[in-house]
Amino acid sequence: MIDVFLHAFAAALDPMNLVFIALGITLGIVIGVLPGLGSVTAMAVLIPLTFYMSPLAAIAFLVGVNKGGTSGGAIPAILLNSPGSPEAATTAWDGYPMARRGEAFRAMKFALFSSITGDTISDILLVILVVPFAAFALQFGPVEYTAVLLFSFALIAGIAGDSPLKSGMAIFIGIFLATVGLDPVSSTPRLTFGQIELYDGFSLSALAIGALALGSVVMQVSDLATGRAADDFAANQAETKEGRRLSAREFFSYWRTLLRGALTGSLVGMLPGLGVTLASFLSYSAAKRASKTPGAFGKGTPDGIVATESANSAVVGSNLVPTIALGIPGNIAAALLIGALVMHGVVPGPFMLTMHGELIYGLFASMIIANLIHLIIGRAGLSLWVQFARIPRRLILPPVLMFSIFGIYLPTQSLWDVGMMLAFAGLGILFTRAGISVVCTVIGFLLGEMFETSLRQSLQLYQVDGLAMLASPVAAIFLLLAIAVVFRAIWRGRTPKETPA
Amino acid sequence: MSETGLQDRGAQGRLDFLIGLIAVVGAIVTAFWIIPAQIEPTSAAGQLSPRFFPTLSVSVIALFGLALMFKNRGFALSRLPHPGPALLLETLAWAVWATATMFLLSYAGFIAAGAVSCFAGMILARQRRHLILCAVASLLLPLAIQQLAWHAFYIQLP
Repeated sequence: MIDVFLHAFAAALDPMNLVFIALGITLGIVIGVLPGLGSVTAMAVLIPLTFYMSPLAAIAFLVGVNKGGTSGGAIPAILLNSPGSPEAATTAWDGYPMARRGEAFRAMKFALFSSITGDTISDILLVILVVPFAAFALQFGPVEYTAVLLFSFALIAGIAGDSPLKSGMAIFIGIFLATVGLDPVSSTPRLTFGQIELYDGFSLSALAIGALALGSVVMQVSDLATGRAADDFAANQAETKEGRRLSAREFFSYWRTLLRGALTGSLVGMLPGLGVTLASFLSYSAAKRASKTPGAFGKGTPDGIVATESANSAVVGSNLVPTIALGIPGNIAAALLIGALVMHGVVPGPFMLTMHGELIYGLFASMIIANLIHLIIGRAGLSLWVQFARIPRRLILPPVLMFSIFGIYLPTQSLWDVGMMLAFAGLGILFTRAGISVVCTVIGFLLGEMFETSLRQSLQLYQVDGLAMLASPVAAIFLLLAIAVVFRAIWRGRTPKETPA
Repeated sequence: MSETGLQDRGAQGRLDFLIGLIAVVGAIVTAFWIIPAQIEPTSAAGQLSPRFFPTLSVSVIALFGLALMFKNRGFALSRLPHPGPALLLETLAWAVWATATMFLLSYAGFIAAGAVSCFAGMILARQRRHLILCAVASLLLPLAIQQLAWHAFYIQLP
């Protein structure tokens, strides 16, 4: 295996391959910065370009786009409090307060370095564990997925917002919104009101960009207009050493959070369908629970950025585990990668490693090399992005609406989706001002279809005996954990909180 | 707790009670009127109805709403001013803005809609100097985006 891997490294170090990786990362970061144009859109738009490349260069290029796009989403989250994609929502929780304090550069460094570290750990795990973990992933049936999702909902409701009750309600509002469209089993139209556009349900991009990114920007403009907030963001970005410097020692002092985030992201990524956003939230939640100062989360602690970025980037590598070992795409990005593989004559499935071993190990090597290139390009780009922090908010916020319309219109060319995005921005404003976590609604929507499918399959499988669902040890553990999390939230709600003097 | 803190807690409590009430009423209307009117029940034997999951999710929303009302029951009859009307007004203002943007986008195109919304947003956010420069930038930016969409992706923006 070592011989094959060394040979693959030599192939991956081909100058043309390196150029394509660098190009992919650069395009990924630039496209990932724009609201609505995350790594998935970037990959979808750029796949036709790969037709003229060699198979290895093509796959390496797309992996570069995916890596760049995932880390690029952190930039608007930190600078504008406007996450370009749902997985960067928790980055905004701590990144934006840091940026407001004049530490935009440091926050972006934390995000970039955490992203690359998480990604590297995940890539190494991918190489070592691709076969055994694929077998583990196969143990997950509908009952296990239902239990994992219930546990995740309980955990997310506990960390997002001030009230677990309102967060839980927000999650189920998202799940309810996900039921609009055709029924996944019988294809009966549900809640479509006769609108043909609603047969496919609401667009995730329209909800995420409208409610998360655009809603936040509109509220910031509204605060400036009414004088509720001063336009002091740019003035705070003083050229102080403290605001820019991040030593390796300080960064690696967060090694526990980094490692926990990378492992969380890797594990979630290996299970098909769970996705990047869930990884970010679980890692953030775990970091907050493990922290000695949980109250600092959401107020600008680097721990929050490290937890989120290490986890969401770790998914990039690990979601290739089911893709390569089983031919099952871990998420949409992996599905697009499968499309590119098919375009180059590679048949995805369990025999991919034996039939196209050289290409697959070349891909592994390219992924590891891509992290180094990502570090160089990403670090160089930070100096450029930080210039945006120095532009007054009143000038930089209004164009976001235009970019959002562009980002939504580009993949679908549908004015309906643009209208939906504007409507969801209204929902985002209403929810945020009322103290309801809009991020929870997006998460509920994102996982709603999977939750419905797995719950319905579980109920049909065990319709005679509901308790038989507990026969699965994995499901039983996650259900018990979910119950424990709910009881903990109730107990904390009953205990009076200490208020600082 | 200080008097201001108690007032804030009271205002938030009253708002939370109202949120719970709206959630419960909304869930009841959805479960008993919208879902039966909009989803056909399936006739296939041994299958769960397509109404099952939407009804389940609104039932859980109603449960959370009831819990929220119960938790804040002490503020139900409170006369403390709460931010509810202000947030409705802000959402209404956005609805007007969004409708105008959609109207411009449909009838005048992306460049006009982008330029007007961008410049109006700057004025609203209290930009009072260099207005001619701002207007020119507001016009050039959507123009550049439209050119990028066409030349890089072969997509004609509206």
